[in-house]
Amino acid sequence: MSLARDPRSVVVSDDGTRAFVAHVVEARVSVVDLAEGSSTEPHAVRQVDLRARASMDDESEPSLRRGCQGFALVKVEGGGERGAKMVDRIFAPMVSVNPGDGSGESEGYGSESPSEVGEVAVLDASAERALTRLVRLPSSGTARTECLLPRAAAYDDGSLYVTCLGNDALVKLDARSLDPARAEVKRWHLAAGPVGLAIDHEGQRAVVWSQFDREVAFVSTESDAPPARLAVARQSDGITANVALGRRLFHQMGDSRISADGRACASCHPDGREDALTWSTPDGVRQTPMLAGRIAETAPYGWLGSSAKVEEHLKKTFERLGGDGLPETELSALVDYVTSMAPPVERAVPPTAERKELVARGHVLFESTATACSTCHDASHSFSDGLRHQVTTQRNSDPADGFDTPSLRFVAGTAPYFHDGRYKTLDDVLTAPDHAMGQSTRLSRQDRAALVAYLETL
Amino acid sequence: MHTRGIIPSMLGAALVGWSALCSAEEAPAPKPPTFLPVDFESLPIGSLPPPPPDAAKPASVPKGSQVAGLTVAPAPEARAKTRSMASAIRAHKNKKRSPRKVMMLQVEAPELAALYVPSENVSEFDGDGAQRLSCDDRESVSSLRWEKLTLTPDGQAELAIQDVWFDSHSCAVAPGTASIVKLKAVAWEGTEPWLFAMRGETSLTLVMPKADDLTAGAMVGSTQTVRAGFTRVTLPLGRWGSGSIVANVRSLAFASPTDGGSGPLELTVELVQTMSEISPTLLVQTRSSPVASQDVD
Repeated sequence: MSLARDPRSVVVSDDGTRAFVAHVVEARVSVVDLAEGSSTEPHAVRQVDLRARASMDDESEPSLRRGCQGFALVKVEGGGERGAKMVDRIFAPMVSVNPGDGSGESEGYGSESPSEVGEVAVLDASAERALTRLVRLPSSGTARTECLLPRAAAYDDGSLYVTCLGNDALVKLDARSLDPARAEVKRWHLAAGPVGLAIDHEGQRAVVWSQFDREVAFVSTESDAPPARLAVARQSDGITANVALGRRLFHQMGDSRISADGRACASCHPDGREDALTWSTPDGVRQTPMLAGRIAETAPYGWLGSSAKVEEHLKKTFERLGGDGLPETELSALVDYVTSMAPPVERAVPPTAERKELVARGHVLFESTATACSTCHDASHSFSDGLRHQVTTQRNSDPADGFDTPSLRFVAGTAPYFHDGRYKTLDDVLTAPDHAMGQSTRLSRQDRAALVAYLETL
Repeated sequence: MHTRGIIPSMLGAALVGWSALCSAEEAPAPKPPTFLPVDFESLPIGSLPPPPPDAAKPASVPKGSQVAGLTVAPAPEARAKTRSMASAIRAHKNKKRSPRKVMMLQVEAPELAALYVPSENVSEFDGDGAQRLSCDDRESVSSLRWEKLTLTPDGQAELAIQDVWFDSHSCAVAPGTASIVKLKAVAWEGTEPWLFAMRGETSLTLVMPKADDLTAGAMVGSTQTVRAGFTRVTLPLGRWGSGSIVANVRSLAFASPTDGGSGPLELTVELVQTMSEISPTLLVQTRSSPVASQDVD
């Protein structure tokens, strides 16, 4: 069945009738009815909105924060003494984000500092609603140690365990809290890249897999004994030492060379993709671009195409984030890593004859002079022409000579669209009359559907 | 730089360094956060009475009527101001038309009391131990609520709620309905309790020392906050949902706002219940407060 973008974790309700699915972006959990549906009939899918506010005084829609890093999901299981009274709670570690109000330029990324706050949203599985409605912003000036790249979670007897990529830590949280991220009980520092976690209830230990250092740690959850560590052969990772260093830097939290507020590259580019957010930035309002699979052959870089090389663009990005910058060797490693990032797997679309015909029709339209898509999105150059075009902007802060043509590789999975994220769907882009990009507004509904079908294959 | 200038500079730098070192040494180490689960079902059951209905309002209060523990006296004179001729004439006319006295209603032991005008439509009350009210010719009876906290010898607490009628014409007060609810201590500083709680069918009530920067909210219904000599917060409670309170408590001792206990602390109270849970979980968290580094007024 089709789900919203970037599904990552799944838990099944105790009675086996529903599956809850975490999504990396957009602060939501999908609920899939397993009891209904079949191989031919679609299962019913509902959404649980996890967005919370930083203040109870403002109940307006714009005051709802956005979300990212929804990789993990875990539910209360097994009772136990401390968690005996908890039933049907699901925990969604994530990051609550305020990317700015979209009104224009800001001093940093977002319009408040910090713009990202670690959160564990608590859901009522029966009600299919979020119970966590308020996130608390850390006091200014306090050291940021919270989990801003949560990757795996497990529950045991009233405690929630979360691995924190970038901090290279396992944290134990009080699961009874309304936002367990604010109820940290204990923290263990582990090898780099903790992304896997299992709880051995009988043995009172957590087992953590650190992907970057290729190490398994056995952490005693009820004693102060240091974790036992088991190294796994490093050679099987299939990446060079330089790429491995770049991967570590990409996920490094709290590195003042990269950002002043401690965020990592992976904060806005989870898995090398994008956070589905449009940020207020020093240059104006900008949608986060996708990186994985989109670096090669897409120069120049940045929305303004102002950097001929990736290195140059990274330096400018660090500068905008208030970072001091990386030395050349580490910068080179980071470039190697972002260039080598695996592109997303192809969208699983049933290859029916009807679908193939639709895609083929869309391809023809894409290349036709009637739509003029391929005039700028050149398929032989990763669907970009490397030039800036004035596509009609809406803000005074936008440059008069327009924006660099972005690649369309994997475009179906990178909503919202345009440099300012003004369009939610590809169909919105094709029908909107307020831009000067191509001539798709004249297309019939059937032709638009064909063009979207083709774009979904890129 | 001349030699004689270097030595004082070095001395100054050393003193600055020493001073910084001393400051670092003197700064108290922040307390580790505490997580205190409270057994919701162990809390005493009680509810706060709604504001008295209009139907219960007396037509008047006889002159000379009193409420034990509550004094009615002329308010201290406002500081004399230079007035314009126009305002002086206006004041003179008003004086001729309606003699008006500003009175101060003052409760005993104001540090453990709240005196405020109750209302169904208001969720936050700032009620010091005193209220300024006017006495004049108009026939007008209004209600006041006096909440009085008593720490009992058994380590628990009682909250007495006394409704009072005030007649502006007779400039007197009369007692209305009164009730007492019991509160259970749920957090302590050493052996001294500083947080009390009570549950109702549709609410959870917490009482703590004077709190700043208080934020309270719930998924269903509205909260009620009374800030006076102590702070009371009542969270609405549905069949399921959540509610929370975040506050900075400057001192963990009641009736001693500046020098008691070992505050300030940031207090978080969280109430969570899913549809499948029989009763909510209640978690009290404390941690060193950010206001610790700020001046206390």
